[in-house]
Amino acid sequence: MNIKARTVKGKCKAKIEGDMTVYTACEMKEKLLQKLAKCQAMELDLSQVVEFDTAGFQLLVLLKREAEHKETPLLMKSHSPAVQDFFELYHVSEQVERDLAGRDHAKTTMGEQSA
Amino acid sequence: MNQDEDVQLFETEANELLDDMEQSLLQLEDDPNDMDHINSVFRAAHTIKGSAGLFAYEAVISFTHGVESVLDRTRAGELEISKDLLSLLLACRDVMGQLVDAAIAGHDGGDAEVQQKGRALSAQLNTYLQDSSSVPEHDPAASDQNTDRESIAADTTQSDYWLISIHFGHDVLRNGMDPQSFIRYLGTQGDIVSLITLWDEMPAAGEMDPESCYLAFEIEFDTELDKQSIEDIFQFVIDDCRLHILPPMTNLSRYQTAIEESVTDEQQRLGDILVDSGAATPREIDVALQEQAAAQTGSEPHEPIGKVLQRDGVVYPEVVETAVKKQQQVRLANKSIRVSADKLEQLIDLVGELVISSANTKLLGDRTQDTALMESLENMSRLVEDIRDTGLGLRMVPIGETFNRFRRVVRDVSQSMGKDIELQISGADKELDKTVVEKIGDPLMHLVRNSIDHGIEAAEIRQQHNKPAKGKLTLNAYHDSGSIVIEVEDDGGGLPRDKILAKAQQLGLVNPNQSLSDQEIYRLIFEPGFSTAEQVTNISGRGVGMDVVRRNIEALRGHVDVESWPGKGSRFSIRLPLTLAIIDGFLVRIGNASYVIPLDMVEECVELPEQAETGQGSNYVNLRGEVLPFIRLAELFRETGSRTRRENIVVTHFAGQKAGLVVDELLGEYQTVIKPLGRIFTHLEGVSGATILGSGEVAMIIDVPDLVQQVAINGSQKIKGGMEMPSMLAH
Repeated sequence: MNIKARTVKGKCKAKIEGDMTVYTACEMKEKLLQKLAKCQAMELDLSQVVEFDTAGFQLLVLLKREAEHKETPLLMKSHSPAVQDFFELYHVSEQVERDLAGRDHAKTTMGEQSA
Repeated sequence: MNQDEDVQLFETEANELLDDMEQSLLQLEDDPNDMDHINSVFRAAHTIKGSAGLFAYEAVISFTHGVESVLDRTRAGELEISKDLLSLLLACRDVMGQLVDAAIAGHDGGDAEVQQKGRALSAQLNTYLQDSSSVPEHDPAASDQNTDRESIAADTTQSDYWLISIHFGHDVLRNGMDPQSFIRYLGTQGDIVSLITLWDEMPAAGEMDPESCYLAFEIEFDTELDKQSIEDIFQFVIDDCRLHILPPMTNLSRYQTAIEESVTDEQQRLGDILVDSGAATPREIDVALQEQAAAQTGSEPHEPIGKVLQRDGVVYPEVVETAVKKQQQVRLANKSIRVSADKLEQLIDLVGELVISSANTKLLGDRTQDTALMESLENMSRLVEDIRDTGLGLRMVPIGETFNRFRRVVRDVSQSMGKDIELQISGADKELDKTVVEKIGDPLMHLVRNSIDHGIEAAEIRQQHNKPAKGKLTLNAYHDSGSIVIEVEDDGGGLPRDKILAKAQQLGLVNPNQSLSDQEIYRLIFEPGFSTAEQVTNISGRGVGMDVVRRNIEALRGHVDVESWPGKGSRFSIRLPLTLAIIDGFLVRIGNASYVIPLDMVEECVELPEQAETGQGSNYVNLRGEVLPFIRLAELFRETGSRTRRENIVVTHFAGQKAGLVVDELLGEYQTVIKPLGRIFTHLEGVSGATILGSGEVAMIIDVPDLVQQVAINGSQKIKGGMEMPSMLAH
């Protein structure tokens, strides 16, 4: 696992290389949240993600939610096949960014209903 | 099933329910807040109304409806159970019974009297309904159910697919499992129509542990699998997740049919029924049971498991309803399997023949000296014995039902007489033959009424005698050497000894100079003729019909006795054989003939000592220091033929008394089918029936109670009065 990031004019461009799984989740959470905290906008390149699992998925959800919270624009792009496949499985594939934001809100109400 | 059978079924069911209702109402008198009994009364009324609806018995329906409405209010806690209300409901129950009978007889509505009674009661019922008409009509239970149903329906009507809702536990990932693999596997087992991933449970970034799982999924799933198989997909995480599987609406009717069509004789729990039909899995039931137990607070009754399951979204309310209905059906059917008495009689008859023929076979087998054959015959006769016992057991019913009928009698009679009497019942589980039970009702009724009427004094008199104002009447039953003893005991004033004696002397039943023990005097009330005594204050009724009671009981090969303690009360005990058909006998030879002595009453056998060979008729031997009167059966039955050098005494006992029966030879145990003697032989003394031996020979069955009493009475007369006092029976 490796995160390559550079920040230009407050916009952080990060690229995740390698695995995004439960084994790397703790480390990755710290790093990603730190980077998010320091920038005004973020772009996450997922093209080099090899292994992706539920822990990785949860991290992306967390990151997205934090970004919303801080009103920092966050763009996820170039999903690797592994990520793509996973999003499809969880039915969150199309327009992940907007979807996450919109659904997150919508889901809260639905979640209450079902709870 | 034709209309007649339906009506018959309705009749039996209604009568059973009315009995239940009565019992519960009486129980409520003791404990007005017992929800179980309130519910049972309501259920009875409700079911009768419903069943009457099937036959359009309008009168039954409309009257019962009023009863049901009042009961519904008590059930909802809007109406207090008071003594007045209970009396009213009991009266209503009676009218319901009359209306049902009338309706079945094809005369819906009953005669004018019933109609009038019904109207009066309905009017009274109405006052209970109006009392708090200010309280808005609202049945919380019903409305809850409706909303439940709506919410589930709203969730599911749009879906013809399985609805799976799964919340993964936090440790799933740490345990090396990933929700994605379950979802992927699910995808191979059917079609995931839609899936929503939920992450609302994920905490804020600070607390969020990346190694914990916070996800939940709502899945619409199309599959041919059943519920259990779907659950099995998640079996590796089953302990670490919250899983709800709701079947498609299209399955609803399938479950209902499965429940309705399931054939079972056993009483099943609701959960089991649901599991069997596939509507729920054992795990879901377990979870619901835990929830049920956890939710229980204090002494409040459990929330019904069906409700819990419904709320959890495990099953549809309709399925629960069907299952509950099924359960009730089974419960009803389980209470009793109705077999016509004729068929049962036939079976018992055949078993009787089987016993005889197996005895015959065994005799023949013994003659061959073929060990293998004898062993096999031994085995067979053991089985026949078991069949006999089981067969007779079919006819055995607990006496409790008969006893319970008296609750109402005691209540009504004592109320009408202004007495406060408590009925205590014990030994209700003791069983005896159904035919005996049927015939014992009337004599018992007589004794009970008698005790209330004349035994237990009025409250004022009781208080004067330092007794509690509340009288006590006890019905008790217990088994005693092949008989059942039923006791009716009161704590009243006891039998008036002197008045009975005076009356008996007046009637010429006893000589003025005859000396009688108190017990003998009390027993005089059973003498025929005593009943015709003119109505003398305290004695009247005490004797009326007592001879009839005795006759009825003796017709059952039973025996009735009375004990009394002045100022403390009296006790009538009825001793009855458990069954009328088959007994274990003890075969003996007297002269050239065989006789059977009921084995239950045989205590031991001893050789007749030679010094006892004195006198005629009644004699005595010294049995280990005890005076044992005996009777020579050869003389009694005038048997002649080869006499043995050494005679034997069979020591028999009955109702606490012992007597020796002298016989020529002891032949051993023998299973005996009692064949009643013909009418012309009813006057025969000393024998109670006959049986056919394996050899085809007829053997008489000795009437031990009769002989024991004869011997004992003769004996006591002689001992007490010496030789100058002739025995009572000698006259």
